[in-house]
Amino acid sequence: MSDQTPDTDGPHADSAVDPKLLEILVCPLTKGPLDYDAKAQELISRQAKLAYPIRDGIPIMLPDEARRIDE
Amino acid sequence: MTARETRRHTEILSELLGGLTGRHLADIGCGHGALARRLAADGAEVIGLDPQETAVTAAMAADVDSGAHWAAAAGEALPLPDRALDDVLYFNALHHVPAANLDAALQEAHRTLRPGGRLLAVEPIAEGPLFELTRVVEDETAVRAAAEDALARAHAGAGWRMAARREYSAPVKYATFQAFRDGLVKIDPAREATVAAQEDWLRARFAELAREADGACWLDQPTRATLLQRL
Repeated sequence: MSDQTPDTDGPHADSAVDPKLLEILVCPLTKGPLDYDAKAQELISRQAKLAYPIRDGIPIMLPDEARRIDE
Repeated sequence: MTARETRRHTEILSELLGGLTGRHLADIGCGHGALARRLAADGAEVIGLDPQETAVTAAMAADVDSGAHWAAAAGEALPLPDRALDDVLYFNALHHVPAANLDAALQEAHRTLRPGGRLLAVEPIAEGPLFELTRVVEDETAVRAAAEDALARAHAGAGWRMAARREYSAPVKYATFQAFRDGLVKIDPAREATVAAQEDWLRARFAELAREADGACWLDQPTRATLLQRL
């Protein structure tokens, strides 16, 4: 569910995430900054090692829905 | 018990909150977003949050140009920075936070509010005709009490000051029984089986309890609004 295949052509215009949200959102666990990966449509918390999905333009800021980053 | 005045939620909200133009506000547990859209249209800078992704999807789809922002998030883990908000609103939502997470949710409200900012919790009291109908689908007596207890613990602590408290009876409007039934399931799709099993009783009791006026059916919901100020 949370592991959607990234669209290699970039996000569809109708699912573009609200730019204002990108400015204000922080990681719900660490309250640290998020990096926006436009291609994968993810918000990445490096501190929490989690990638929060953006689905249909909606940031899903739920740790249970996030993808763990093992790097 | 003294009789509660019949008041609309919107009247109580504007009485307690005053003008919201330019204020940064989070509507936590925004559901399908009707209130968040209204507050945004009134000039507030609103973010609507709900842990149910389907609700946020519906809220965003219904939002033409209110200016509200939307994300899926839970009250106990807010994706917002410290002191970013002027007001936090839990409208018929705090009792949906799991009881074990209520204190964390109120701490998160405190963290994200600026000093002097306000938390408004509007909660249904476990009494009245609407409660009688909905309790056969999901008895919220315990969760509503837990939410009330958590608010009491919060304002007994050092972080909050009680600014106002109101009890009133809010008329809730349904076009038909079917609209009432749809609403029960919309709040939580997992209720469908229970609602279907209780449908005959619900229909009969709805007909007895609902007042008909202005071409619609009305059920009263005793409600408590608690306004806390963050110190």
